[in-house]
Amino acid sequence: MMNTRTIMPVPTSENAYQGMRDRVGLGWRDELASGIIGNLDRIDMIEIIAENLFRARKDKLSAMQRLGEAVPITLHGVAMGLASTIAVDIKRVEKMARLVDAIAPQSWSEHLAFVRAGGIEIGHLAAPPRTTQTVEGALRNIATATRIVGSKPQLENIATLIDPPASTMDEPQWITHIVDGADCHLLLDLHNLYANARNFGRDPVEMLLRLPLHRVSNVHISGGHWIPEPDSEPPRMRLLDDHVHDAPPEVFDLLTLLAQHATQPLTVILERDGHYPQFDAILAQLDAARAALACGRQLARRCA
Amino acid sequence: MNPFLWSGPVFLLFYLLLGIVLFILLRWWMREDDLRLPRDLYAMAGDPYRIAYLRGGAPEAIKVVTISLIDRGLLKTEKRKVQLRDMEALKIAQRPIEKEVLRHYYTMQGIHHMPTEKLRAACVDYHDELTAQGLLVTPEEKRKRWAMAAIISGCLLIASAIKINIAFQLGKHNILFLVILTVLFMLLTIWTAGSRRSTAGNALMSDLQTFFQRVKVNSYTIDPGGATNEAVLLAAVFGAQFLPNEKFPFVNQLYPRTDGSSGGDGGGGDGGGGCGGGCGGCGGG
Repeated sequence: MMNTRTIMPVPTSENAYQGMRDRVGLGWRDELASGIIGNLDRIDMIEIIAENLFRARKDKLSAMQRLGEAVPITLHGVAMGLASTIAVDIKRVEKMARLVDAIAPQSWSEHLAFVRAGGIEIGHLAAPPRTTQTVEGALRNIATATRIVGSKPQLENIATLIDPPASTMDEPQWITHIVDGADCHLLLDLHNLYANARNFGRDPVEMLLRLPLHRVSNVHISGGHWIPEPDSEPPRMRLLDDHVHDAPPEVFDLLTLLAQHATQPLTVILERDGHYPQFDAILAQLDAARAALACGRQLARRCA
Repeated sequence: MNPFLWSGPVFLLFYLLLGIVLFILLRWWMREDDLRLPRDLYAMAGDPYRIAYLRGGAPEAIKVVTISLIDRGLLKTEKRKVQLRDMEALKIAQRPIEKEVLRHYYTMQGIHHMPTEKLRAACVDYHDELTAQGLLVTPEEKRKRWAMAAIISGCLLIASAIKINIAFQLGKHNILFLVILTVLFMLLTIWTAGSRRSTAGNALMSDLQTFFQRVKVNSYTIDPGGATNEAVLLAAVFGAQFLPNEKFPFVNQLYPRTDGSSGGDGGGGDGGGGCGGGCGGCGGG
């Protein structure tokens, strides 16, 4: 299914989004509907989980399309499993393509993860071994998805509690190979990056700065909580990216750093999947994201 | 091939199809006429009172305002009587329509199902704003709709009259079904053309009912007290009868349902509508 839908090109210094600005939005959750609809003037973008709309009735799709005329929408897939040596499921990609046609979002995204193997659906986003084989597999799958949907996805880094065994490269290298090879935007999930860094003894700042920051378009911020690692001796804690807690200060610090180093406009999406606070608290986090972005941009100007 | 010479049942089928086609034509014309101008559908969506007015006019807006004031403790109820809590309530309420409702219950007690002229006047701003946004039909648009409805009704009446005349000339008097169909189409045309909401207004109401479906299904979780706006939104978008009786008993006392059934069912279940949850966190346990 080919079409000529226009998407934002990967930024270079020459074409870097003249006149565009940073944006802050959040993920659509039914539980937040009343707050979202009542505060559209404070929300620059809404991200919708694509799988939640695959079987939606026509009136729901129409409602989402009309909402998209009031505030930009981006679709976020969670079950394609692009980062895999296994070929992506064509039917799933076609569903995404139909949804993109119906909703006309500003962009769509998926995860750099695998979700199925050996005919078994994991039901979860899993980190594949970071090898040339999975890079090549990801590039094949991304090319297939791009051909069918008609536009390139933004690619999101995932959190993992397991450092993928048999890896021959580290996370920043692996992500860079894929996004450069596919010539795609990176949807940078800062809490995922932070959690991975903390869980595997790495420096989140160093990890961030080693990523192709010029390719970052959308940014996710969210929170998590520390859980004990089973059977660990001495006892250790792991940071679980559960999306039901506020984004911690460290994530906003990383956002400031990102804004300092990326020249292109950024769209920050707050993810919250449960334990919903009053909507004023959600709006406060959006404002905190705006402040972090502004701080980063100011630092960049001082250094320029 | 003169349809008016067809036998009764065949002509009835033809008339039914004619009526459906003309009705679809009316709906299509209304939609095309409404949507010629760009509208910011969601500019009006943040205010529950405005939504209530869009849904049901001044009576519904006043009802939702009253419920909101009672829920927030600015009005108090005793059985079917409503009173201002105290004069301080007038200072706490910020919205002009809320102040008007409070003043109304300062001077009068009890529920008046039809708003007084003063209360209706307090809703004029809503009417004007919604009309300016293209969500309510303007008088000019209404005239055009009625004109179109008259043309369509005229066509159907003439077709019906010709057939009845021919039937009588042939000595046939079994015209009851044709008369019933004619009346039904007239009523449908009048009801459609007489709609106070524009196509955009209907679309916005439909969208809000879609987006807030989960609020309606999970209404039993809404707590009174006005800490969130979910109770007011539920009443505004779907109607006060969907507020759960157990937590908002005053609603049924003040606005008894005419069909004898009780209000929001307090039932549970996380089903229906909406756009679901998130991706459940990534790389987690």
